[in-house]
Amino acid sequence: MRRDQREREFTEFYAASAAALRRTAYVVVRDWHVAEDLTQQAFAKLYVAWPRVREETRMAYARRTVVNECLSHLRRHRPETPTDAVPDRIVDAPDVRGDLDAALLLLPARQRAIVALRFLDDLSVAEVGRLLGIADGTVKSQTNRALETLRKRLPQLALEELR
Amino acid sequence: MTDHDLATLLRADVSATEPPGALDPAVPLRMGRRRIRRRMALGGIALVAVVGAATVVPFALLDPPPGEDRPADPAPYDAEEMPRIMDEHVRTVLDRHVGSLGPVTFSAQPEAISEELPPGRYDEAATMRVTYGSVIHRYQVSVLHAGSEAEGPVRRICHRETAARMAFVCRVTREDGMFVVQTLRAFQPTGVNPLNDRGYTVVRTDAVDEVPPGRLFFERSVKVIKSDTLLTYVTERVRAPTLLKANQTFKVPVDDLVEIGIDPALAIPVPDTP
Repeated sequence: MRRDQREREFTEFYAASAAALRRTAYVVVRDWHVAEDLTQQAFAKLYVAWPRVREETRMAYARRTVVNECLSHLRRHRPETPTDAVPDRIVDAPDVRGDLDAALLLLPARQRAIVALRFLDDLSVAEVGRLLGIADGTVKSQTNRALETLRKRLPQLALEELR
Repeated sequence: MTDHDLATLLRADVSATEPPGALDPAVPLRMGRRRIRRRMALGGIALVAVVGAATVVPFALLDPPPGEDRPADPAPYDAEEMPRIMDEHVRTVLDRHVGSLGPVTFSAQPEAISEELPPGRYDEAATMRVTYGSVIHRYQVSVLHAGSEAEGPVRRICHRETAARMAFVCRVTREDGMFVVQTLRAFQPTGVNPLNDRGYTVVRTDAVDEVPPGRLFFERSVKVIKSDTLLTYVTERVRAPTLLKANQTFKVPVDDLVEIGIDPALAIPVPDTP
């Protein structure tokens, strides 16, 4: 493949997909600057692999690379302190956005990635399983655990929805 | 909480906090190109190693066991070699775009920057600099130890600069783990004669029209923060009456300024103070 063709195709694909992938990365790492860096690094890897990646699988490849970059970054930096002791109930929690941030940070990194892929990117259980290289059953159980944690941390959300 | 609640909440959070502005494809393109170049170089080294081994093995069988004749270690840092190394590395990149770069001017300064170090004392340098061109179109690369310029929240500082209209552009990216700050600024000389290269002050972006066109300079700068104290500055500065004219006059793409800035050969240790 000629370099100018590769760069033209890559730039078009980047323009169409980078922002969405940065959002996915943000949900996983909870920092926009880090999300941007990791997205750029993932795209650099995609650029190297470009001639080998079929057009129909580019988005899946890019998404997998972004998520892997995020998980590797979190493994190296460990900003989170996952805990089993999630508070049963938050009595006074009016700041839903701040709560969401705190609640997501309670999740282990991979659960956060599953939440991002399923609820932000709207991927199916099977697609998430393929992307992360785990069984469908694991995706389901991890999703359930993540939702359980989030429900405990964000009880007011469902109530607000019901009003 | 339903699935729908969570999806709605995530999207609201993302759209409320997402920074404005599009992502720049130049960054991954540059990183990707560099990865490819590095792989090709490693492939070349591996090929040489294989050919070398094939040539050496028959002789090795005849040779005595290896003793003192080990491969040489990489050359240790030699401050006196830095003028040549800096010129070679910088010239290789600038030559792609600048027809006749002309001779290099090298300078080395200790922490007291008013002093100029002579050859033989370059190991005391806290700053080493190569300069090409003339006052009206100058290329300069500086390698320096300056903790005050390497510290601080880079992105916030950059944001403050543009908010205060001290720069037309200030962008922060990461390259190989290093912060890279790209800026575009206007300057005017401090002296009366604009061609006396005696220092410049920044012109606010909203005050450019107030400066006589003959006194306006524009500078593209790339600052690479390599460690807690080590920085590389790469600049191209032109005299131009307007920003538009300056943009037409710049010769070296920012990507190539970055390539110079992140070059690992452009580094000096913390100076020996006598």
